[in-house]
Amino acid sequence: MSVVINGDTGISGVNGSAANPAIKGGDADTGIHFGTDTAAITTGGTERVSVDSSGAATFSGTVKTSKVENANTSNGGVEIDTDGHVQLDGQQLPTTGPLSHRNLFQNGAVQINQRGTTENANTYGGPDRFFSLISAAPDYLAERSQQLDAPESTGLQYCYQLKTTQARTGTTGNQYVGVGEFIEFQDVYNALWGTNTHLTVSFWVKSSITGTQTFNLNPCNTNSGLPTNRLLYHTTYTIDSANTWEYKEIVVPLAHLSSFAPLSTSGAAQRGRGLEVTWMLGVTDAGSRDNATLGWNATEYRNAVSSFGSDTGGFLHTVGATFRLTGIQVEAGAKATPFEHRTYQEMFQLCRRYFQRYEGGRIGHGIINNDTSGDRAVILQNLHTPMRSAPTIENVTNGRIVLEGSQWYDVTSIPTIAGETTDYMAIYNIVTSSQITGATSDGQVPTAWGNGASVSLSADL
Amino acid sequence: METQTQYYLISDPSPTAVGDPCVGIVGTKISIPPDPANTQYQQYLDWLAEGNEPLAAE
Repeated sequence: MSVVINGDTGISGVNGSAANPAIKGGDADTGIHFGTDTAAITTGGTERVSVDSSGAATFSGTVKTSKVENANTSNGGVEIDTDGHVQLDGQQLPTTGPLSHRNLFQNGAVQINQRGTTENANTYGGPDRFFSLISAAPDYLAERSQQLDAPESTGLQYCYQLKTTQARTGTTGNQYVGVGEFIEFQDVYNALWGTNTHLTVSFWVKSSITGTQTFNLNPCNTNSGLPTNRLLYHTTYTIDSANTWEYKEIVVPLAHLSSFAPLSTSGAAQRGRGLEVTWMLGVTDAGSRDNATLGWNATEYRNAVSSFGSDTGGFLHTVGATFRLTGIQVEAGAKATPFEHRTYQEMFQLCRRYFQRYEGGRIGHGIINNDTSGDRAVILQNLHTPMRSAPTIENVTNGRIVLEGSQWYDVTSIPTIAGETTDYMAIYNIVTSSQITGATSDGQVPTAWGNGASVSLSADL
Repeated sequence: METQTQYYLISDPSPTAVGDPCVGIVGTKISIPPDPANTQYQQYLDWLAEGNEPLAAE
């Protein structure tokens, strides 16, 4: 077959083959060859890329590209960054771990709010699972609450809010305020001591105070060999605009942590604190909480940037200052993936591992003792779901106990938890105002506790 | 002044009760079971280790 070179139609006449391409340079087995309605590129005598009569392209080796799109669009598709991490149609894929149940942070959408709005110095108050660190006596107060406010087009509805309601007036050093969450060790072991190289935290924040803010991670159960096994990852982020939702991502390298083993793997440690995630909002001077450098530190667990060390500004001193969080996700890997929305019921059940509240007509059943004067009862209550530990009574309303078919008796002492309480059954000691008729030393009488009673049980970390 | 936590022992009205006594925090409705995994009981044990003593059961 002769080769035709035409100024209008180009070169034609020879199909060639993979081993002997029709068009080639100095290398005899590298070039382009042709078939009927097909064309292919070969290197070293091997076909690498071919296009068939339907237009389908076949690659026999690795395809190196940064983006793949539909022929008629200029967005979506598959995008690959310089680290090889992938976005599909604009959605970041995980760099490690599963595709679902990635979020280690519970109640990140702030759906669950069993305690309700709280204004005291207790660790727990406001939305479930969030703790607040308030150490600014004698007068600092902050209200913690669930607010119906969230960034648009995220599917989120609620947020957590900490609001300063009474400013600090003292001058004691080392005082602070912050918010965060403790996560159980057994739930973060894989993320922290698996093969993951990074942990990524993403969240939406809205604050009345702008500027550089502080974020801390504390892998609590780490055998760091440092005093009290302190180990802290300290970093900052910036709030650019006041009272405006802003999305933040923090990528934490785990290489430093991987050189330390867990401190304990006992049963109690498995259910104990594994990771403390903290947004510090204010720390005063003259202490050890304003001296951390960025990155991993062997210092106090909770640190804040020095800009919040002032005795005059920041959340500690500004009545009405608000700090809001929502869409919080803590996940293994070097990239933040889209927020994992969970059903209300699913998150409610998860939160009940740490807090349960009972109220209503009858909340437990038991017996009136026959060993005393007939004014004491032991009440048993099967819990909604097993809790993390035997729970503390966090709050209780006395209510009454009943002698069935007879009458209700006032409970006169604050009901207390009994030592036999387990993580699945609460046992209460109840004392009434007087001997209950029919409850004598010759027999025990069934009873129920309720009629105005309520009890809040906490097994929070 | 920072308020110092003061614990008290809770007497169990049942002589057949098993286990260590629970503890309460004075001035609150909080009562804490003797479970080593309970964070507040751990804090109580730390408080004891610092040389503090709970008030006796009434």
